[in-house]
Amino acid sequence: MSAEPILRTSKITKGFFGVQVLKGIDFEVCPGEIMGLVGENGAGKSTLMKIITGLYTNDGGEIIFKGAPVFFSDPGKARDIGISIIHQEFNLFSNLSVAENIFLDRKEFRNRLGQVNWKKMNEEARKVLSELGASFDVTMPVRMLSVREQQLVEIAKAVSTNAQVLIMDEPSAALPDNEVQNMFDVVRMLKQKGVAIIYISHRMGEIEQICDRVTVLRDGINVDVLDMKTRKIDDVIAQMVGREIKDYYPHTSREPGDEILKVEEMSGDGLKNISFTVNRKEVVGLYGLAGAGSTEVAEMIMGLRLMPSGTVLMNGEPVKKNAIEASMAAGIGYVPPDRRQEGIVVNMPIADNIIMANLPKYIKKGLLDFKKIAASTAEHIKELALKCNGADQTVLSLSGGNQQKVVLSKWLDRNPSMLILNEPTRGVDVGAKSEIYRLIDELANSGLAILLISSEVPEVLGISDRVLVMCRGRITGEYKNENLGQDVLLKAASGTTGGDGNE
Amino acid sequence: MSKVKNCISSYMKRDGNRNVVLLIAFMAVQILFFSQVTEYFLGISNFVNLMRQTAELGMVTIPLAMLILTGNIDLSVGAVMGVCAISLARMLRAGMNIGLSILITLCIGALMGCINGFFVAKLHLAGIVATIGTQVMLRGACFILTGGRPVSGLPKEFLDVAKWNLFGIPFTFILMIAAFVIAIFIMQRTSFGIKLHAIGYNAKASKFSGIQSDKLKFWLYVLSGTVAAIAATFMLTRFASAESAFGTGYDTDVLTSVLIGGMSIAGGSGNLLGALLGVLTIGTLRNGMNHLEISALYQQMVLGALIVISAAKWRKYKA
Amino acid sequence: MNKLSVQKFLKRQETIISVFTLLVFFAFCMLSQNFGTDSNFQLILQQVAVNGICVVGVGVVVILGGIDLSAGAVLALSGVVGGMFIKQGMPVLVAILASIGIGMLCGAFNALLITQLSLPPIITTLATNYLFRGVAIIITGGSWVNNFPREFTKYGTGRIFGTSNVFWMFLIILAIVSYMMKYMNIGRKIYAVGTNNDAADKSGISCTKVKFFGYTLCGGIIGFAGIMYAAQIGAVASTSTGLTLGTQVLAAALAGGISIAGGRGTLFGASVGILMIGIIKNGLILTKVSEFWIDAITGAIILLALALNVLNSREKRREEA
Repeated sequence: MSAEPILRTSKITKGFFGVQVLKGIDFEVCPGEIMGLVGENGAGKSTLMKIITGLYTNDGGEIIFKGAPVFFSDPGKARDIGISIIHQEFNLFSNLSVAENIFLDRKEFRNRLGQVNWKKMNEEARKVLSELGASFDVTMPVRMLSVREQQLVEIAKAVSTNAQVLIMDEPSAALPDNEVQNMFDVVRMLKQKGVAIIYISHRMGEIEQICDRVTVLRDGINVDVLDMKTRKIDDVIAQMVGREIKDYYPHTSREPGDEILKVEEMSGDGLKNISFTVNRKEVVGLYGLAGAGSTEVAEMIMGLRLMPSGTVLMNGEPVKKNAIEASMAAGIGYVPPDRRQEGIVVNMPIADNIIMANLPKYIKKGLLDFKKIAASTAEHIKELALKCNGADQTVLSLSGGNQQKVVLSKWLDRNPSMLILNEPTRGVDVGAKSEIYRLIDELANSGLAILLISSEVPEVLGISDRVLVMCRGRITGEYKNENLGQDVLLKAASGTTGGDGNE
Repeated sequence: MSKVKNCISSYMKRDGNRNVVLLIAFMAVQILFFSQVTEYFLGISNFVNLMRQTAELGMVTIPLAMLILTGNIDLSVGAVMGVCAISLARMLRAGMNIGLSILITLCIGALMGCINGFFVAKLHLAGIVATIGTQVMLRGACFILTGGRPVSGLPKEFLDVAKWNLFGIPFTFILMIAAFVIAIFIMQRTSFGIKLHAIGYNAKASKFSGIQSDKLKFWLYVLSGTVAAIAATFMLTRFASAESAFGTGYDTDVLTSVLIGGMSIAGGSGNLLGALLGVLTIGTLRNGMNHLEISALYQQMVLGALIVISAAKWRKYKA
Repeated sequence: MNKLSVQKFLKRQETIISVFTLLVFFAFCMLSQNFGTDSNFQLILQQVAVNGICVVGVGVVVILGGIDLSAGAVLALSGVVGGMFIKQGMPVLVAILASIGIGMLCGAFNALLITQLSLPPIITTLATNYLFRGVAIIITGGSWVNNFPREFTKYGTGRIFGTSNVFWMFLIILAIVSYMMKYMNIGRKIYAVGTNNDAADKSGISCTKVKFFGYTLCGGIIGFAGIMYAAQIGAVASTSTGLTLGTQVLAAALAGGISIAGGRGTLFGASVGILMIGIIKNGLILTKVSEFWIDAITGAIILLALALNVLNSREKRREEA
């Protein structure tokens, strides 16, 4: 390994809305090295990468590229100099063709007058894609591609810039297991060529498999750099969490009550014959990698997504399909994964957000009962230890964890008998995370049925009583959470164990 | 008393109130200016006139402001008014019972609203696209219904409605203010207001909380059509005849009032008090400029500048 | 594979609107003897030419993810300015350049408000629509600009191969701008910005610059249409010229398959849209349907085309899933 780092950051700081996200990060990567970057959600990985690629400007500190400090006014500059990024969320133009998405606005494909050389562009696109082991029509608009193919276009885009530093932010999130290995081949090929690769992932298995070194971030500072030749992945996890896993996940043992939710043969929209049950006083973890279909299951139960076939039963009674009001009336609550888009209305006050799903309760003789609203929001704020200046504060100015508490309050206000939590700790800081875990535990003890959807293994293992695993639209495993190993879940989630997952 | 105070203070805390304050100041300056430069402006007869003119504009503004609050728009209001007024005039001239013909007119308005609602809430066409379409279509219908000649010769009992007043204040103005007070009260004290704001700010999160935005949008369009019919009825009592261009340009006037009142065209932010002040501002401005003998097109120019200024203000306020 | 591409071709909004237009055309041929004649056909082409030029400009803006409701006022203003230049005895070329320049200024002003004050395009152009028309009225004092010399009007009324000059100009502009949108880097950037503003920013494409280019180009094209209007009609009225142009052109663009959300559709489709509207108007007059029906039927047909557009794109989505 060459000793001289090609990219280095020193004392990078950055804050949003008065919250310090990065508190002085030192980070480096050498040519021909795959540097893992890990940390809990909210540790600052994505923010750091956005600063390195010029999307955000840092408040303090500097970026040193090839020994000289650099400053990027816009992302194009970073790309020109040789730093490319594959974002976690796709950054594609759905109406433009595959080839264009790869080569848009690139000097090599236009003459001095600005004419685009379509023929050359399509040929090159085909070549780049075939290097990645893919072959699809490059003239097709990207909106017609599957999620997996779109991901490949993203990779092709970054690879084609002859990047010297390539940042991959959760590159495997949308890929099925067999494709992940193909991607690794590409990554290794790039490494051979001397490209410095920054590999961000939540999947410890991948980190262990591919990274030479791993930088661990926690709460906006870099805690450690581990050489993977000598250290084990357990060390990485220990550094990430920063404490023993046991007290991080409060889990009291309890005896589950009778059955409350029953899903029968739910199919369509990529799902195949999903059947399972959830009992009162029980936390059921639903584990699946992105794209496994767990969000689809939740949205179909909730009536937010068209359910082509299957039945959802609450307390033995079938729930009306495709109608959220019916699911809500049956006593189900749903905390969606994308908080800002689906969970809260950021410009409205906390109080309005909390009562939003339960408006009829607060109506007396046709009018809103403001006394009752104030009393009940105050109660929720106290109960969940929501940090705010009062119920009038807009949700926008709250931290991620507190925003999530608002969403939880919204549903708890309905006194549901069943809660579906979809990635409830995404983008939540460590402190609030363990508070939410404790809350889930308490709620279950008080008799609530909870379906916890998550793509983080430690979380699922930490707080569930029972675990369901999904892969490619099927349930591929069901386990009681007793001495359950991470490996079992991972295998089931990647479709390598039998179950009923055989095609 | 403290209850009232509470209500007011909670109202002022909500967004969009900066424009309310600005508009009140602007109104004061405007009235002062016009009263200095023209002699008739402050006269009682002019004020009665002013109230008559703004009454109908104000009525139509209520449902439109609600639609804009949800992030939608209705550009067909003027054309709906045209169709309603002309149909009503024809029915009356044919000697139909006044009450019955007004009832039918309201139904026509509601039906037009249904059409818009169908396109937007059911087919999910963009509001602006759908209502531009209905605008063209309905304005055409106006030409068909009039045959190019104004419809006049309406019964006296009907035209007398224009003269209804209470202590000299025109009945329509009282009705408009009452409607605004009720609407503001509803927005403020019932769950309806919260729903509208929520849909406008974040349609998806509202849906995920069980708020039925499509249904609500549909009925808002129906309301918009119905209120346009009511406004057209009153306007017809004033004009005594309906021509094919009846209500032309009304949509932009209404839209301008709402935008000047501090509502965001993106939806979510703003309030009805602002919209009311917007209506009064525009009414006064138009009236004053008429006295200064500034032509209608210059007036439009001033309004255009006002829109840009108020909308730009809103953006900065949000950031 | 071949079958698939045929299917894809058939499902394009451009194809649908073209077939629809042809059907309308033949229907009128059956209904009226005067409609199918060569001279009437030439008349239609002449009638749609100016609006056609405008639709090219507005189409670019809509693809960019914007909207331009001020098109009618820009047409009037540039027509008035160009016309006054002519009346002053300036060479025709100078007048044309002046009109284009005024149009570009208007477009740049729109872009300035939209990008620098972050105003929504619909509000901005609604307001500037008043503003530009007001300027036109101030310049002219509200009166007509007419009585142009023959050397000028011959450009608008003349014919080449029996077809109106202005229509040829429309075709040339359509061809050039279409080529730009498809084969030039800037054109692709316009599609990119219209499709996904954020992604464009992240890819280092300056949305501000692209928007400035798009709106200015649109203004320039409408400016040219303005002076051609003056040459063709022989008069420009600051108060009434192009009053309904904004909505008509927008409707044509949308009916022709350009998505109001931006990033999708072609200028060719939009031009067919304007041709369709022209044919319907002309046909209705000739079939002696009372002239009062024209707007109503036009509106209904536009709505139909829009609904088709929506339903069509919805089916595509289902296909993907």
